[in-house]
Amino acid sequence: MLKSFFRTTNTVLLIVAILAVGFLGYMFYMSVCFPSAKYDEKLASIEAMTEQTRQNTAAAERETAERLEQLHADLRNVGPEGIAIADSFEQLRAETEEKNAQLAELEAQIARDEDMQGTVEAMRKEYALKIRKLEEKIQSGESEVRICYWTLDDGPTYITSNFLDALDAMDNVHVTFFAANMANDSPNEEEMLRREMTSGHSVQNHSYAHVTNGDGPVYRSAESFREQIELQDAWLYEVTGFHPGIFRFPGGSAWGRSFVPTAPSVIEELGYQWVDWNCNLYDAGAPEKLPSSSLEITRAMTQISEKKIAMILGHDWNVNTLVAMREAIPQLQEKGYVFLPLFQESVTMGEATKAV
Amino acid sequence: MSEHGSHSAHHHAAHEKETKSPEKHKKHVETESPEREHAAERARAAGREAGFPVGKLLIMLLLIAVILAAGYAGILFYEQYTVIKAEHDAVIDAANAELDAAMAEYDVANPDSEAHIAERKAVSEEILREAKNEMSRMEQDMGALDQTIADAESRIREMESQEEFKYYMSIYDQYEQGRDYVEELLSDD
Ligand SMILES: [Zn+2]
Repeated sequence: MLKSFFRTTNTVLLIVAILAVGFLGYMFYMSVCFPSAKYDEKLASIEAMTEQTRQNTAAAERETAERLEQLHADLRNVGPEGIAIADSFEQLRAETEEKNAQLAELEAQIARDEDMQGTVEAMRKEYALKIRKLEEKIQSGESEVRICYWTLDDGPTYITSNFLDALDAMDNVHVTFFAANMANDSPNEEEMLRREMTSGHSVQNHSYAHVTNGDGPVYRSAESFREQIELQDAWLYEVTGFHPGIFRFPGGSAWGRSFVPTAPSVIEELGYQWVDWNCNLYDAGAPEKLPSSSLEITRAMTQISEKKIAMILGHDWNVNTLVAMREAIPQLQEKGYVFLPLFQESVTMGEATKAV
Repeated sequence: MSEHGSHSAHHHAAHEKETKSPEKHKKHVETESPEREHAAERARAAGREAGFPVGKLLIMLLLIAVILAAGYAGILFYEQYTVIKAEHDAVIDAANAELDAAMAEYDVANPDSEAHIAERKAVSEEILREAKNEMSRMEQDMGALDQTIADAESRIREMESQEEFKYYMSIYDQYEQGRDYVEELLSDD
């Protein structure tokens, strides 16, 4: 009785052990060998389908081209009617090609026209990079050309149009207007700014309010300083369609930085450059102290002649400056100076002009 | 047993020559049967001692093995046969198909055959029809292309007639001239 009980138990245990080992083996196969084989298979099948699809596409394209080729070849064997059709086919094909080329050109033009701001900016960049290259050649002594960046601050004013007339009368003479909205009242300032642009001059940022006191809106605080640049930028963008990119401190950088020491980093944060000058016409005095043109010209000419690259500070509202400019430019041209506009991309004089 | 047996056999052979009596022979056989019974009994006794018919079991197993082997061999042969048959059938089908195709080609190629003439006529008509379709499709495309070009041109005219465009264009011209001017300055040296 006891003996038979043990025998039964042993048999059951043996069966259970066999089942367990079998189950373990099955699990091992399912978890290690089987899934990886399955996924490899799936991946391979997807890759094969992709490759097949590509081949089908290529084959379909070839077939279409071949079908047309064949059709044209067959046509010529069908008789006179076929030959006539084949001929007109050739003609149509050539015409279509020509028109497609024409259309591509027109579409490129539309793209340019639709983004005129971008198109103009791209051209300005090309222009500015050439100026930069010229500056580099001058500074390294490779070029005998001299550059004069004539700047006129505080406009537009009631005499801006006179400046523009004078400049228009000279070939290849371009200047830079540092405009400040509230510096001077002018009934047609927006028209003047646009005329400055269309005459090929540069229009840049001289703050919105143009107040030089330490407690005024420009230099009261770093926040106020930033706001002044932004306000002027927005106004110039609205009027001219372009963001300027170069700032000039009202009163100069030394003056401005004495109130707002962080000004340079504020300017940098706005994506701007800034410049001072290295030649001063001293034409910003009070009206009763306005310099006589001839004296100032003599002084300026001496100053300018020492520079390979001169940055002249003048003012858009001073009649003497207008007279001096008209006289000085031809003389400077004789000495090898060219008159170019300042652009953000070509401001490479850096601290050299900023410090003067 | 050998001493007694050989003597007995000798005696029996001599006796038989003399008498040729079946009865004597029979009697002689009978005299041997108790010995056999003894042997069988001894074997049975041995079997009873082992408790298992080993010989019988081995024979049965051998039989089963032989039957299974025979069955397996039969299946293998059958499979082999079906494969070979299918291969042969396929080869024959392919050959038949090739023959059909060759015959069809011949029908078309044979200049005298009705099929050839009909085929050529159909092909010519088909080609012309297809060409005309293709032509009208191309002409339609051309019409659409002309329209697109005209649209683009009028779009450009309209855009370029706007004051704002003229404004940008004159700045562009200025910059372009400026660029060329500086380029000249660069190449002068
Ligand atoms: Zn100023």
